[in-house]
Amino acid sequence: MEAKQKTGTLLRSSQLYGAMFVSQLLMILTLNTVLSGGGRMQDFIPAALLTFVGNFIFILPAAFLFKKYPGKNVLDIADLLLGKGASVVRLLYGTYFVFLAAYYLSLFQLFLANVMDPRQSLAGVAAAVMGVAVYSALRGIEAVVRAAAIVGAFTVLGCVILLFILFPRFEEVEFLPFFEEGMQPIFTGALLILGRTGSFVLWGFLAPYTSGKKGKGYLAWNFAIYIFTTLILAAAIGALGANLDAWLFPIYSASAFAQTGLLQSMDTLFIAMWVFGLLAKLSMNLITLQMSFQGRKRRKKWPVFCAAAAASALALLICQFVELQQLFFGLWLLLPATGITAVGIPLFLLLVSGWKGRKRGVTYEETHSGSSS
Amino acid sequence: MKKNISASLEKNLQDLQTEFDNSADLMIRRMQVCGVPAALVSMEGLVNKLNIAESILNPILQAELEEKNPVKLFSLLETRILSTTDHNTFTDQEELMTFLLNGFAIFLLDGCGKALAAGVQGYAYRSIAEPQNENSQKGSRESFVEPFLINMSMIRRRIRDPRLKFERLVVGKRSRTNLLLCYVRDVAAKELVDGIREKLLQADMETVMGSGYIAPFVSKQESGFFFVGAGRSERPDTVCGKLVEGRVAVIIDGTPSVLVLPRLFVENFQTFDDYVNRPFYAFFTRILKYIAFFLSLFFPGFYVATAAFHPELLPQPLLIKIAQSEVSTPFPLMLELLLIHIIYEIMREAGLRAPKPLGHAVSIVGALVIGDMAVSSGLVGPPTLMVVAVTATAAYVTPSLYEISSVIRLVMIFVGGWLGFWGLMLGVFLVLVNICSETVYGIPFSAPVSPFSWKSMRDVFWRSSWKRLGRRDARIQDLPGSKLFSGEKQKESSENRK
Repeated sequence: MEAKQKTGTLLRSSQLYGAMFVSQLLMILTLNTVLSGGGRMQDFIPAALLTFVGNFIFILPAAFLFKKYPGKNVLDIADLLLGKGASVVRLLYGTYFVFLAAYYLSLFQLFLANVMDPRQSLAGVAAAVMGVAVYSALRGIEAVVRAAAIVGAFTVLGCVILLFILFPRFEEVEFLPFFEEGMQPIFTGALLILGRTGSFVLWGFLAPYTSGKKGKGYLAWNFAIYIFTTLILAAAIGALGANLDAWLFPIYSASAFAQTGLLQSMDTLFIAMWVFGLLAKLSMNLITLQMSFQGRKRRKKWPVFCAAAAASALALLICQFVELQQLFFGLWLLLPATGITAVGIPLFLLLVSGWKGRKRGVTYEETHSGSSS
Repeated sequence: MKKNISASLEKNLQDLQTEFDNSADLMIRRMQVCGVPAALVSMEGLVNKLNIAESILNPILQAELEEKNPVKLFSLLETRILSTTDHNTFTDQEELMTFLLNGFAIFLLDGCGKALAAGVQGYAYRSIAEPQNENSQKGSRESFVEPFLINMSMIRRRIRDPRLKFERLVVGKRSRTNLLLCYVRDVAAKELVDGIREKLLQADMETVMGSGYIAPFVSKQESGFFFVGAGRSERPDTVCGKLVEGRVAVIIDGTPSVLVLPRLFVENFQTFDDYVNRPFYAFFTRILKYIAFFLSLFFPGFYVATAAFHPELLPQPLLIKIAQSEVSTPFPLMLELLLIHIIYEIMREAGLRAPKPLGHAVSIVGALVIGDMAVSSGLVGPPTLMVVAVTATAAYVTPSLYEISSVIRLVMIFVGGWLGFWGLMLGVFLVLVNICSETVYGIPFSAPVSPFSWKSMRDVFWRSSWKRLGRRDARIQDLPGSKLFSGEKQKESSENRK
């Protein structure tokens, strides 16, 4: 019941994993090596396997926390354990969501400015995209998650079409030997993917409010992501080889290269997938940010508007300054941020919970029996 | 404040004449029954005079009665003399007015503080005809008519189940319009019926002249929702199909279409013929309808975005043809499409509103102006005209979505021409979120596509065979994401409430 009061709804876990799938697929479709400091696209294939394992490790602290405090999300638990100190946790999450939104928005702006139409006003792009994301966020989590499910189906279909078109051009010779440069690029690739994965925090915010099989759902989500990452990368590299390493948006280039029947290229399909995924991602970010700042009863709108404005401004700055691009598209900002929000905070809360439990000599379950049911 | 009928006949008649201010349609027939003064009051045009004569006046005037006590005489007349099938006795003056204005004849007897309302309604109305807006090749040819009691009988004839219930309500402070809330008791969710009844009773309206007047009150939609969570149908068979799925119908007196609640997005693509045609053909037509809807919404926007921003997407011969035609036209492609669409909408509106004899003239002018002169004068390129023609035709495949698609289409042309393909996708996502955002009486408007239910998909994009459809217990409250109780939960919920 509490879950219903907090989000105004009760989601099914399949809906949450659908939304997380779209979010993750967006990240895969926008993978590149140019902006993240060089390397080979091919190295992301073994990195995906490491990410598969990492995806389980990253949610362990939150999973343990939820087992101890059923029906409560990370923020509820922080409120319970830290009291007023929870506002620091809320602020950290809020900042993380703004960073993540700015990262994805700036990537899209760079794509439009560099690949599609250099005359496009970056501020106009930010305003249009964020406008729709704000509208979606204000329609509520249910609306966004339901839309994300349809977007997810469309994206899967789009990816399958791309794979069907690219695989006939697949040539083994396009692949260079794996592990040629040791394990370092593979670890870097895995950390890049993990750092850009906002799904851990989304899971930490919404999973306790969902009904259904969470464990099996997570396993299916992780497995599906691994399969899609591997297939998309293998198809693109098999068709275009090492050329992809030099392109700003390699999967886009592969889709533009794909040609079938009457359609001269599949880049519009790719753009559609990107825009849908981006909007689903941004609106979910704004909703979780709103959850971070909302009181127990009221749903305030100002955090959504402020976060949208802040993310847009930050995205514009990222597009303007190379230093910021290096920071956001490399390892040194998003990976620590994801680490802190997805692993650090839940781990800290687990420790506080254990410490408080020992201090009182009783367990949470004993003191709050029935409160979570 | 309840006001009782007076025992004095003169006072009662005086009150009525004052209330109606001697209106021309108030008919008062005075008479003597066994020497006791009496009167029959009715409204001109609302009653069947032959019926009055045969079932009220003749029996009363020809009766050989000795009773002089007015109360006993009244009772005698009611139980033994009058031959009407539908009559009620009452003492409340407000009830008297309600019966009188609903076409009943009111019998008043001096010395008796009661009145008798005899059902002798009879007014001119349009006979049952073929549906105008929901044509069917193989289905029934009957459509609803204006009198609500006839509509009620049309539903009852199709569902001969005592659990089918009609509840009578009155809405409109001045019009006092009769409504019937119709549902199947053991199928419809109690919360749904209660919710709709409450909304209807709360509807603050002076007059209710059609279903469109009360649809906004009962559809319970949030502001900013583009679509409508209440459906309208003029086919009794369609309404019956919806009722057995747990929906609720609202029959409004004076309206030849019935409101059905809740309505989901996918229902816009379902027609009665789908259920009488073979499944493969039903699947084919359903897919055509979905394609037509997407064409009507996004095709012009896609055309502008592609031609202006992504010409590489098109095959070269097609691209050359478009370029050749556009090079000679004075307006940019986006403006051209917007203009033609607006002109087309003007023509359509004129064709709809113009008196019938002028309709042909409007069509000829439209065909000449849009179809021939616009191209030959070089104002519009032929591909643009082709796009408009395809879009306009596609929009009529789903008539219930015409209103919203005609407006969204213009927005999409603008966005596609201004921002290109990615802008168009922003618009698509916005429409998608809007569809997914609404919950009509606890049921997601986008169900069963999202939240998804494989079981319920048997009647969405395709229509399964009747062997499977007939077997299922498809209730609206069982759809995924529904917050309504169903089955056992409903029983428990009503028991708890007791």
